[in-house]
Amino acid sequence: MTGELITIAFNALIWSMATFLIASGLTLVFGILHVLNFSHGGFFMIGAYVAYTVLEQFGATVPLWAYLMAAIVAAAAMGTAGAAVDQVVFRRLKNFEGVYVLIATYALLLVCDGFVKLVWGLNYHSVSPPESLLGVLFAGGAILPHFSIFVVLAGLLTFLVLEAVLNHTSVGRTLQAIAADPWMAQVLGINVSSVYRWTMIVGFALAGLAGGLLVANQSLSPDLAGIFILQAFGVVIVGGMGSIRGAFIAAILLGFVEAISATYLPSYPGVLFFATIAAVLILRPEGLLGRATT
Amino acid sequence: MSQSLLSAEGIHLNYGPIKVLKDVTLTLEEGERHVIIGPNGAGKTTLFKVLSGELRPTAGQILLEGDDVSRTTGFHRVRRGVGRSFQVARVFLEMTALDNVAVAAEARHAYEGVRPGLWRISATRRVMDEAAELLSVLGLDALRDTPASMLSHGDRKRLELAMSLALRPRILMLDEPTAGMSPTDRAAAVHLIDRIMRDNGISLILTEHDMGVVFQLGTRLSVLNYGELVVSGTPEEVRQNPMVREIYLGRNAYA
Amino acid sequence: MSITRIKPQHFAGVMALLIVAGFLLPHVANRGIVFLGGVVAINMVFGIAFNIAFQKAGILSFGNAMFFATGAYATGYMITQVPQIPFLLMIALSGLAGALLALITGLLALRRSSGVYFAVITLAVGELIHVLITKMDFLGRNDGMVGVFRPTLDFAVFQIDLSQGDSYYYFIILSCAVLISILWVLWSNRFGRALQTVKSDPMRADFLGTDINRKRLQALVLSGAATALAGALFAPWAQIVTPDLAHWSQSTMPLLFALLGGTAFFFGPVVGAVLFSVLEYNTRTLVGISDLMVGGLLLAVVLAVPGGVLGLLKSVIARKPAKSLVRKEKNP
Repeated sequence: MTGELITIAFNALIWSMATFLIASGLTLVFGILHVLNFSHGGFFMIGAYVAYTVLEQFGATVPLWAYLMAAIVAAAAMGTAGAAVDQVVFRRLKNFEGVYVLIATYALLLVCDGFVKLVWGLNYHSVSPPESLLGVLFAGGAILPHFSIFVVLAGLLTFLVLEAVLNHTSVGRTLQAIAADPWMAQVLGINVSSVYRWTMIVGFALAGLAGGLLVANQSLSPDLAGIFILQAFGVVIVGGMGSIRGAFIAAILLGFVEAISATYLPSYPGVLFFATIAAVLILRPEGLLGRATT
Repeated sequence: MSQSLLSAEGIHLNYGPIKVLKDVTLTLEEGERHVIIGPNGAGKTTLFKVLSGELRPTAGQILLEGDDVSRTTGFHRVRRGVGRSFQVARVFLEMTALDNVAVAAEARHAYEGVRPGLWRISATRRVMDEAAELLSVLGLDALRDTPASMLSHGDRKRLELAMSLALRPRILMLDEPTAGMSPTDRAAAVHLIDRIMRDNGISLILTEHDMGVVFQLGTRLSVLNYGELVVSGTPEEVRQNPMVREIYLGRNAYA
Repeated sequence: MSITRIKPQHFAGVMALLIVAGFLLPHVANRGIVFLGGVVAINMVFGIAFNIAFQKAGILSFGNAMFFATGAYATGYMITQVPQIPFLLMIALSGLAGALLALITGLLALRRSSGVYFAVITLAVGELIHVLITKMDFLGRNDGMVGVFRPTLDFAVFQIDLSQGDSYYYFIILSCAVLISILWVLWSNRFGRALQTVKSDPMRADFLGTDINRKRLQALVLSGAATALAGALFAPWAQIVTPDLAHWSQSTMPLLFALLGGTAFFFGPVVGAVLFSVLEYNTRTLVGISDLMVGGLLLAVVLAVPGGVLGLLKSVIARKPAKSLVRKEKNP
């Protein structure tokens, strides 16, 4: 019984931290640019495929340093993609109605989908965790793989770093100023357009990093974007759009919902998850930590 | 006591910790023209929004002919005969002047339960006649087929008034009807408003900055200061009130 | 251009042309293209149903595939399981199912959220429907439903067997023409004008006595019902219904049709659906690039010609006003 509870709690944490890794970049971009980037999951997926391609060079056993390096390569690649998307799409649509930006990012998601199918094909691929993380930990009758513990720690670390940067550095204060009032920030001499660009780069790099870190967490297929983008959206909506802390709390909440539903309602995956999102939207449409806007 | 047309009782409105309106009570009687005045930031526009249903008061009641309408929103009160304008005129910019008034008239027909034929596509003859007539009442005949986006500020204000009149309101709420007008336009606007209210038996609530307009149009004045109602009475009473002289008119040529 | 004085002659003219073209197609083209023609007609309804919510009411939905799939599955289920129901009733019930789903989605999300939130929620609900379909035994799980045959229309005095020859194709053309006409009426009449005021300036519309939440909900329900009707027509045409119909990527299709043709125009999605099919047909040999093409095309349209093909044409025509002015003066 305790074993089952620990397993549920642990599965919840894995789900939470994996989803938070993906949602962090999404919510960062939304918080600063007020653009919901539908293609975020697509770039997460490409990041995972890039890491997979890097790791293929190492054969069956992957050293930890190589695994981390692959994640960094994925982050760098997606950061570059972020700069390109900012230049080609966001800058050009600056003076358009918001819906056109949404539609453009939605179209980009489909482009990512098609790109993956074209380059890596429709087959499933998988990567095994780094060899030093292949072991498991036994705790009160539950089995906790080292790799899963690694994912949880990675998510936690990402959260702490983002929190520290946003709340305790001058960069963070600049970002908050821009998020609150870009016009005023411009007047105060902040180069808003350059901050926007760097936010996009960091947001996309976070997507790539998540892809690289999580590549061994599940098998790779072109469906990855669709699956994870919805989890990440759920977290961002429930947490309150644009709030990193809210996303973190929401990720844990929804992680438990998912873990409980996977244990007790295995034939209907996602139903409880969506029901929770619906409930939050009805009771608190602005999300747990969101500001009431519009 | 006879029933007021519209009354606000003990209205409070807080934005978070900031108290914008504090215990405001006022009434509008049939045929009255009630002007809300006060310095900038006194809460005039906020009170206006509460009365029209755009904002819900934190506490207090709005009674429309004795019925509590505090919890209803804009369209409910419009359907009960309360029309309003906006400080910066809101018209449908992509439509012509005539279409603007026509969609307003059509909206009224819709909530009054007038059913055009199921397959009727163009607006009905009645709607178009009403719209054309209102445009001519407001002297916008020549501009009927001009897109609203190309109208001047003053013409948009007149167009908005025509749209409000198409709703056949018994109470009209005008937020700064002469703001941004030249003295000549302002005189014409006052004359027009005065005539229309008389002709259609409409009671009026307005906010206004220009003291000339206030004393020409108003039959009752209420003075707001820091979210509180200082005094409410006839123009003469308000003019003589020492507190008003001090906080408001004291700084004005009318003192 | 006046929105209160509408000329139905123009609409009737375009519709007549479309119907004639539809009826001529089987006489000049092979079966593959006739099949595509039926799909294009259905896609026109799919696109217009999206656009009436998007353009007229300002509702951006990323989940219209769920309505289409609802209609297709409902009809597919009835044809294979309860074939004694008259076919026209099946289609009507399928439309009702779509309306109901739209009503639930709208009540959940429309009142409190607009724009971004609503788009996300429709995407999420759409994906939920997709997941549910793949888990339901009676809907065939991941395999979907096969053997969705084309039934017989029974009008008591006479019957039309839709499985014979091109008869189902003609049925699609006529049904789509009827649906498009109904949608045009609702796009242009008092209802459509009220929607337009809600989109243009919700606050002003509110203070004209219009219940804006109700109007938006009506627009969404209309959109959901019409999309489900398109899906219902599609099921017996493809003769197979699969969960792919509910996949999120399917929801990009009506957006693409509407934006490609021009969202500002009623016939925008019609032009978009035709153009897209022509493009798709000519690239059909390039395996695996369909997502890339749809996504890339949508992106290109948004970035380069946000007004769509009709918007582009209109601006080209508007640039030579001298000619038309001269002609006007000649016959007053």
